[in-house]
Amino acid sequence: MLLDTAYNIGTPEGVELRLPVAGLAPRSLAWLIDALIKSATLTVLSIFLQVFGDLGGGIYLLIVFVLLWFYNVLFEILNHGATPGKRALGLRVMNANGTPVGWSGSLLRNLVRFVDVLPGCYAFGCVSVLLSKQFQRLGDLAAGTIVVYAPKTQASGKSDSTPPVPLKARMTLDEQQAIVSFGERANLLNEERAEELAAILTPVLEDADRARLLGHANWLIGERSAS
Amino acid sequence: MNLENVTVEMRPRSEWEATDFGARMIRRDAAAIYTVWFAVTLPLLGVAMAVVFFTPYAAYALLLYWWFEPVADGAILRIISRRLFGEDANVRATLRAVPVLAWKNRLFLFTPYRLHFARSVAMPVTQLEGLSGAARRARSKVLNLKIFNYGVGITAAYEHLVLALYFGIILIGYALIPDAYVDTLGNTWMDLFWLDSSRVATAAGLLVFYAAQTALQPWFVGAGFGLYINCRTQLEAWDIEVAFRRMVQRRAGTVAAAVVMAMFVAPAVVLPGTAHAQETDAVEAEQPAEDDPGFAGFWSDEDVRPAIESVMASDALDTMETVEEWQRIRKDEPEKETPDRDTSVLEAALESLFDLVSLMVEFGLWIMVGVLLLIVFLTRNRWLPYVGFETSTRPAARRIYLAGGELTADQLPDDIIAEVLNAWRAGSKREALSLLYRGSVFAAVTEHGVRLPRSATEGACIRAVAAQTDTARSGFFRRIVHVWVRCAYGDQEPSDDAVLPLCSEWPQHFGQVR
Repeated sequence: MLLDTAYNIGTPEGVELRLPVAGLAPRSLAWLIDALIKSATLTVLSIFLQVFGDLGGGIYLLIVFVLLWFYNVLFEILNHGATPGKRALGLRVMNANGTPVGWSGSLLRNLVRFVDVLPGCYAFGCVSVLLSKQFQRLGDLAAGTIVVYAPKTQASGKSDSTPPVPLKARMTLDEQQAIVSFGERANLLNEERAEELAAILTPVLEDADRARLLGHANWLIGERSAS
Repeated sequence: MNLENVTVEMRPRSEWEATDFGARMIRRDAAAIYTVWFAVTLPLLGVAMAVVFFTPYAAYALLLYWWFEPVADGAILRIISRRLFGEDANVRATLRAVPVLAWKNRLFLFTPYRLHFARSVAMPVTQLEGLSGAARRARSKVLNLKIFNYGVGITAAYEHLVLALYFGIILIGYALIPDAYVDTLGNTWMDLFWLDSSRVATAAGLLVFYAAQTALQPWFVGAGFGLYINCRTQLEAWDIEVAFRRMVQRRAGTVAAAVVMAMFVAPAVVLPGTAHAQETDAVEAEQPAEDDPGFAGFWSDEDVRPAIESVMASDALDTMETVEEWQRIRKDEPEKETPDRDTSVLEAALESLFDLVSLMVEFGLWIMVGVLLLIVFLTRNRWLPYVGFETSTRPAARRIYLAGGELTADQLPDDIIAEVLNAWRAGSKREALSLLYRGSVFAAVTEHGVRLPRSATEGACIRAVAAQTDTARSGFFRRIVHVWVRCAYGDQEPSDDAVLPLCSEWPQHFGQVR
């Protein structure tokens, strides 16, 4: 099988879900952003709470406790699996079977975080992400969760105003999708490259060129001539 | 470069995903990559160590090692770039090529460009495209536009992770020192890295740094290469080229079969999704012949086999799992209890006290279980309906839940048909039909013992009545429901001819008992 970043799971209904799991670099940066947010919050609070003396100190310690243990859990549960750092990097936590992460999963993965941190500086977590197949740190392995890229809405569809040209050759779904994505991206390529790509298809579609393929692409996405 | 042989799934990815894609490539050929890594960096480390121990410039040894380490990056790049296009990861050839690669990458080895913030994405341009000078700058500009920021991002991430691992390894070492020696050996260990400036301390720091970099550097190179490849995939539509070439290849492979197939060839068929969108312009696509048997001959073996093979090759069908578990081995003879001679009276007393306490706790737990079971039993009327059991089997007491809510006897008049006819003549037809429907359902349940599912819809009622009463009655019930549904949901008011016979026939089927 070809190497791929996505992790495919089949549901009982026969639907193939493609989960693009996220690796070390984006996850580290997401962690960094969260760490900055947490430390900034605590710094501001400590200045403010100083006014209240010992009472303020007590409240401060309580807040430290809550932030340390529940920052990730609450954001993951209430914010579709994403802490602010993860959101900034377009990441999201979910269960390995593709379902949204729940209380038990989130709590477990964030409790085991304190094993990942060992021996300080996240050495265990870092090595675990590098070695595990789906880029899971120990907490993820324990809770059965993965971190994936949140799907982006793709602008897709009609490439340009080329009139649709019916496609008569027999084609598999993949092949039709290739032609459609050619239609979508032809405008981003330079002219020569687009012609070169189209020329590859000459054995399949006689007189294949850029304009004709664009027409096919428009036809495949359901455009029909006005007449 | 032969795109037909790519060994990866080509598709435009997001930039961060592209870095992970690089990590996958490293992972796949980790053995070859680490062989090359050690072959290149160990001599370099040796030189750095020599500097530590035999020259007065020990402090610069780490810098020396760090500065020339990208020689190994070039070798790693060569392996993964070749593997990308289906060539072997030939360790020997790669090692022979190291000097050439170093010369190609001279910009990043011998000039301040070594400090380039996005070196991992800039190196493929010099090494793989062999560009230098103005050509390289122009090319870099194109690529930088898209991925420079991400190149800097992974540099920042991985350099910091190297530092994190560096400290991590030191701390692991400290954690492994037994408590008894922490004061002596532990302090020596920590001083080695923080305070000491001896040659041994420098060498130790260098070794730990080398270990940390060994763990991470290949992944850094892979991430940069992934970004570079993804950028070119997007700019030059490699994924489309690969798909097109496969399309042509598939045709070439199936020409022979196509002749045989020609007899059966089904007409051009397009995406299932678009097939139904062609009503008006149907002429454009050939239509199936009148006597088309369906899908016979539609898929040839050649069409389907790759799909079958990929399905068979996927993890879903071919999973081997090693399950290990602990099993208790029962010894035939119970272990002979060694008489504990040293047990003093006090210990014996404590032991019996603990036994007593544990006995009490155990009893307490069993009592709690009993109480819980009792509570569950006593409240059965509350929860039994929720798990699908009726609390009583007498039909008169059975409750009816329709989709709209509960249906009870006091919602219905005594003489249903009279009330229905009144409402019908008064013109409130919907009320009349609603009453007729509800009355029939009620009668079916109370008089004929029909059991309805909770929140029964009209369709569910029809099915239940059809399954549990005779055909005449269920047919009549069906007519009532149809009239009601048409009026309620379809807004088609039935005529007198449709409703009045229902009213007159009603007493034959329902209402005897009441």
